[in-house]
Amino acid sequence: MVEIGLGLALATLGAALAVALPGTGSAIGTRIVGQAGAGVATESPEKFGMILLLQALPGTQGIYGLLTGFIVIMGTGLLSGLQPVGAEQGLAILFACLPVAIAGGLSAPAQGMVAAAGVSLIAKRPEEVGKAIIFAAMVETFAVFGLLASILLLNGVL
Amino acid sequence: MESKAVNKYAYSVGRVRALETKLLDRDKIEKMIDAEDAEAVLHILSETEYGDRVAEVKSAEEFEETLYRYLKRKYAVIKSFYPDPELVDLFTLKYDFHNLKVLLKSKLSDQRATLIDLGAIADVVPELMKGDISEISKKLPESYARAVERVLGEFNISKDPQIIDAGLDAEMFNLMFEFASKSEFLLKLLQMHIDLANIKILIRSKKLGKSKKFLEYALLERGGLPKDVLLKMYDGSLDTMTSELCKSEYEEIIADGAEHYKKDGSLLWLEKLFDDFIAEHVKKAKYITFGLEPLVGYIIANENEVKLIRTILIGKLNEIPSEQIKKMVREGYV
Repeated sequence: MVEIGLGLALATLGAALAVALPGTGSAIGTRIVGQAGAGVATESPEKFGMILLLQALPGTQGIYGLLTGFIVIMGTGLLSGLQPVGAEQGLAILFACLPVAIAGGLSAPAQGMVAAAGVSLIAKRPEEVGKAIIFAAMVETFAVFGLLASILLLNGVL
Repeated sequence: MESKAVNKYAYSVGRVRALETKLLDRDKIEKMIDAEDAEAVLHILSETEYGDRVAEVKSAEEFEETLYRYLKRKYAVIKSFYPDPELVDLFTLKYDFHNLKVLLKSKLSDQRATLIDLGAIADVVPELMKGDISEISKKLPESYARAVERVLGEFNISKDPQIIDAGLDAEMFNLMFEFASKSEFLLKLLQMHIDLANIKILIRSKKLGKSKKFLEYALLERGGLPKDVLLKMYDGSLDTMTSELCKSEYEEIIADGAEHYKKDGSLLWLEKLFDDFIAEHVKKAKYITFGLEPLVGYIIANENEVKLIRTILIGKLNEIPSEQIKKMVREGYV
């Protein structure tokens, strides 16, 4: 039985941040779109489908964070028999989690603002829903970069 | 700051954006202007948001009052979801003060005008019209009562009925500034309204040969054009006054408006030009995602729409040619 040392504790912190920050960001982002969407849906309920699509976009960061957290949990055997993790390795795992934690946590509210502006756009021109999605998806790119960096780094240190 | 605005306005801006799609579009407006007569205009309106209202009236003549009822309903709807409901009152103050003017004039002079059934005191005023003048300040809300008392005090000294208009206008703008103090956008809007009011006062007083003392009382404070500059202009003739005014940001408006005024002695065209100018300022609200600007824009768009329908209907009822109506119709928000 492996004892829980500083290394494992740091790795756990990394996983926790990777899940918590983008998750919080996504909650804020989807809330903004939801509020604006509810306003539009009060007057034009038929636009619900398009609004939901836009509301889902800032939710993806939460998924990226959860995915990164799982990679750490699996890699350190937190679910199925603990693996020995040195203090330096634990610190490296924590650092590797930061790209998705920070980029995900901050990009989600930002994306929420763009998507909410997109809701205003489809309120007036529902036929332009594609453009509203593209504007919001531009913000997504940088959350994806964060996820990519975290996965590659974790690949190296786990 | 930005996220505060998002929290506060996300829902209402979304709702306003959806509501804006129901405003009359250019195509409908053009059709109404080109319509054969007032009945045809009503027919076009019956397919719009005004449909229910059109169904209520028997003839185009009755429709004007109905428009106020439409606007009253709109103000109530906007107020129901507006994060700062008191801001809607900023826009209905003009009806309150119109009603106060009608009320005071009916008591103090023999001028009669119609009350407008809009605003915070619309229910109280008809009753006050019947009562004694001393009752007025007792039955009105405090801020109105104080305004009325100050104006009455001034009137008792000068006995000039025009003091009623001038005094109540000044009181109204003071109240408006209290409401608008939170927003740069609203303050700019108010400033433009004050400048227009001041320019009109200046031109009218010149025509009537009013004393400078009256002007000192009547000109409004806090406009974009400072009061003392305007007072100084009053010494010159109408021509020197307009050329002085042309040095301001309203250069084109004043040049064009003054030319029309010289021709027909009416300030209507100047008012129209100013309305268009203000509409340009309000149009900026289109590009603001979250904040009170889109909400303000929507209120003004509704007011303008009602003004526009009234202009077209009155034009049609008086058999004014379409071309002339088109000239008078104000730029819409959409």
